[in-house]
Amino acid sequence: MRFQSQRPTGRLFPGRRRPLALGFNPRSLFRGGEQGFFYDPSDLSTLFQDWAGTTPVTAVGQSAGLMLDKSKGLARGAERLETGVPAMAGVSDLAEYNASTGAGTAYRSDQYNQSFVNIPGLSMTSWYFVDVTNTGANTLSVRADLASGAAFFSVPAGQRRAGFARNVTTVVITSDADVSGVAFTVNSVRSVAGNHQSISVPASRPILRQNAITGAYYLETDGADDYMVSAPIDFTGTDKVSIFAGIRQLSNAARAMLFELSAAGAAGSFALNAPISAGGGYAFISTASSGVLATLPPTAAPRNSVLSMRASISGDLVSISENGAAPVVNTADQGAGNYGNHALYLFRRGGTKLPWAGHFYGLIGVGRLTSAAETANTERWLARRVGVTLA
Amino acid sequence: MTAYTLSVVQLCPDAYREQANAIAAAYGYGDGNLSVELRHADGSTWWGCHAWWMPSALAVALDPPEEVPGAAEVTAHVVTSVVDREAVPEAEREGLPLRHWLQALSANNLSVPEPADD
Repeated sequence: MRFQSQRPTGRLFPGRRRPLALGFNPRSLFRGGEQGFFYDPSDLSTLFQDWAGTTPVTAVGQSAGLMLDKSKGLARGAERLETGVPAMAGVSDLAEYNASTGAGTAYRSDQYNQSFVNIPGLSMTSWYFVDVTNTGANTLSVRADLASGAAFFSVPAGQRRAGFARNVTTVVITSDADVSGVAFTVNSVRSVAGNHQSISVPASRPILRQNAITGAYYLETDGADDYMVSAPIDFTGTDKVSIFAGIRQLSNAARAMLFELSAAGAAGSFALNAPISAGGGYAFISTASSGVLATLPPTAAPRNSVLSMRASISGDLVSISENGAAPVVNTADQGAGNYGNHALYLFRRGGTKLPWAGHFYGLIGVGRLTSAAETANTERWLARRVGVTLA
Repeated sequence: MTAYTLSVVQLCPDAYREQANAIAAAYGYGDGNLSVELRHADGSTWWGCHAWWMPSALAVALDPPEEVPGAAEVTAHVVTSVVDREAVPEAEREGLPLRHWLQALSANNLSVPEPADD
């Protein structure tokens, strides 16, 4: 029964019954290890209130500063705490670290004279979940390095705190105060696979709401300054992509960008304009060297939409369909090559303009063209959350 | 429960943006919040943001602690518009942040400049 929903039915096979999608999990789209992203705000375990991921989102009315990507199953990497070593800057040489237990101490005479614990050998493209217990009497910080200034997160005296460090080759654990020693235990340092979305600017965080009819959670964006962004996502291994979005579009008064790979229409990118212009329709664009648009007719807002988009650079395909209807297809030449290694922006072009106002129920993108059955199942999975009846 | 029930729009002349952002950071509300470039009817540049606040945060913002140098002077130049979502009828809550944002811009003779390269 679990795989009953995999039958190839739906709009691409007129006259057949659309599958129920019972038991279908979009995670299955990535079983071949394809590059992509799977954001699911209805899964609260993937949402955190702060950029560092120290405070989970637990209820509606809380803002989200971090949304984890489920496309890689949130797989944890190998434990790294045993790679930690004491390190020093300036004259201090007092730090201690037990690589077996993670127990250590940090010292600080002033900002130029410190000893601390350094966990090296990390990958710039990975995120690391760092879990530290502060058994001392002064605050600790988990940082990229001593000189960077900003901490990923702090660990108050006597507390255990965990959060994410990202885009660094080392993580250091330092004392915030000029004190002779702060004891702590590093409980774990492990990578968490995925193309996670975050925003460090508090005012730019979307807020969690819940659909009273479907029961699904969604992120509400304000159409002013909300956005999130990932680290660069390496799509250079493919020239094909299938993307699915579940949204409630609240305004079509001005051009807005729901998602965009790259800050603004770079070579090897794709994006969804929602809408393409004031009063316009949804427009999916794929760009190798030339941008090619597939644009749906203008529609009124507010509007519930499950959008299904496909593109192939070598196959001269750009298509978009809404709520299971027949797709709009553009077969113009996009140029040659694969997609690029760009950050994925949500809700605002490049984090600076074309803000999108609406309810975000999910976004799934995979670096290949999905089968008819996969497409139908994914549309249905999103439709249940948005509250859309598919054609 | 941590409930962010207040829809808050803040608007600030360019000359005070840096200080206003620094003061917000000093309060522990993070850096760079005033991120939307705006154009005043008189041609000057302003900056704005929309956020959800807890009521306790509003009290601090409107009456800044004396230990934050310059906070009172800068706050006097920041326009703060507040709508309590709980006071808005449920049927009218959808799209509240966007309506609030646009109304606050209009009331202060501000607009979002058209992106030049789009």
